[in-house]
Amino acid sequence: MVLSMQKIVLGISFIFLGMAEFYEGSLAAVAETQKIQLKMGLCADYPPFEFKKNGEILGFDVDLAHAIAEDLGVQLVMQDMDYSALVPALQSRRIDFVISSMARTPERAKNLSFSDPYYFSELALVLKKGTLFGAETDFRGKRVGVQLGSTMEKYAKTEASLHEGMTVLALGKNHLLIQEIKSGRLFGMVAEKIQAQAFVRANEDLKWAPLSGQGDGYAIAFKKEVPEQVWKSRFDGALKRLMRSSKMRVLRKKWLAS
Amino acid sequence: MLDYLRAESSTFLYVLGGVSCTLKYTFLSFIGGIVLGTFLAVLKVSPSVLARRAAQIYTSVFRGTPMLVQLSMIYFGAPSLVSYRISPLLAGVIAFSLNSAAYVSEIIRTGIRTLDRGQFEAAQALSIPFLLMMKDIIIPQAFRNVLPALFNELINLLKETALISFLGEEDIMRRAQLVSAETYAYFKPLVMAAFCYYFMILILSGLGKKLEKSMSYD
Repeated sequence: MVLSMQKIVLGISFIFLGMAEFYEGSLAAVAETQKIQLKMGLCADYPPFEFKKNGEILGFDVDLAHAIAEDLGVQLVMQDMDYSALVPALQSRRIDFVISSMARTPERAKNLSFSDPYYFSELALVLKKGTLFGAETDFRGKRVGVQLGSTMEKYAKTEASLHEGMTVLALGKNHLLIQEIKSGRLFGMVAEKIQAQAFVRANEDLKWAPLSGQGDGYAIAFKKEVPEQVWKSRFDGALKRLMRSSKMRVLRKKWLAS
Repeated sequence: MLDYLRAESSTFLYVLGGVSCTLKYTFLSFIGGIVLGTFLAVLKVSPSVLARRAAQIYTSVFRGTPMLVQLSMIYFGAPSLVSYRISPLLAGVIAFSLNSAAYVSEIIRTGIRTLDRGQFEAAQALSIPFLLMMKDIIIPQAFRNVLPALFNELINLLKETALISFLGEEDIMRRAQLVSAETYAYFKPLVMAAFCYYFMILILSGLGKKLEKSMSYD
């Protein structure tokens, strides 16, 4: 009997724990009413654009978002989630916009609206040390990996149609592809140059080679509805002002200089 | 060497910090699953055909669709249906509870079925109403019989809550993924996460054994 009492108390305390969490959330929303609050969605697993260090979200995109928010006089709330959860979250208005190294592709532009691009990625190939790669023609007959739904996937598919026997493997995360390269199942991985360099720094048995292709520009994504369009044009204005001033250059130097 | 250990231990502590999040989801959902599951089990053995059929359909739907789909439906679907921005915690606990209830109801139904028919007949002879008979006589005994299976379900649930990382909640799995993204290393954070899960489940199994012993007949 004593034991079951304990269990009940434990259960109730857990329920209260949950309720406290809801309450805190609603309080935070009430506290900041003087400034308009915008919710930004991102997936903090893509350094140096967005990543977490000691629980804090950092990166180029994060600083850019803060600079835009400062310019527009709005308050930012960051919401970290899985990359594939970003678009549904945007569609169901859980977040107001996405800055998460999301490239503006024609397919995405069908369902979302994008700001002007703020960054163009350079592409590179990550491969095992000792593998030969001179130029794109060496893709012939090879199996190459890319991140699913990324601008690199599009690039690789186009290349595959040009080189005989080249196949493309698209996986959810770059880390999985790196393991595939290490185990020899994959010839190489097409990635952003900055990412490729970082992977090579962290893995001694890998090297990288530049590719001639350029990715689609990274842009800020909004829901394709009227209220969001107003914000989109404001964001475009802020981006223009940032590019004109030295701020953008400072941010690039801080995060993206190799 | 010392620096290396310090760096590793700080990432391990970061991953370990996800334990509280994982436990919160697990226990809240388990309580929800037990309550709803018991209710469903009673429906499944009730004299009413309609109640039995409804409970069966429930189980078949929630066992037959992927957990991630259920979670997405609740988290992303609810705001457009009822214009309430459901929090990840509430969405997660509801989804995990609903899913777990489908399994728990089957476990408890099995527990009820293993009881001696004499229990039901004696209750009927004393003209105890169905619900009272369930609450005071049948369910307590059924619970004791299926305790090991229920702990199995709890352990399963604990591991399944890793799905909440999809919504960005910082449970063990999400933290491991974030570390692996930041450090460009794949296996180390995963092994740390596995260790956290294993250790928690060791403790849970120990508790389960103890509980089982204290509730056994002899």
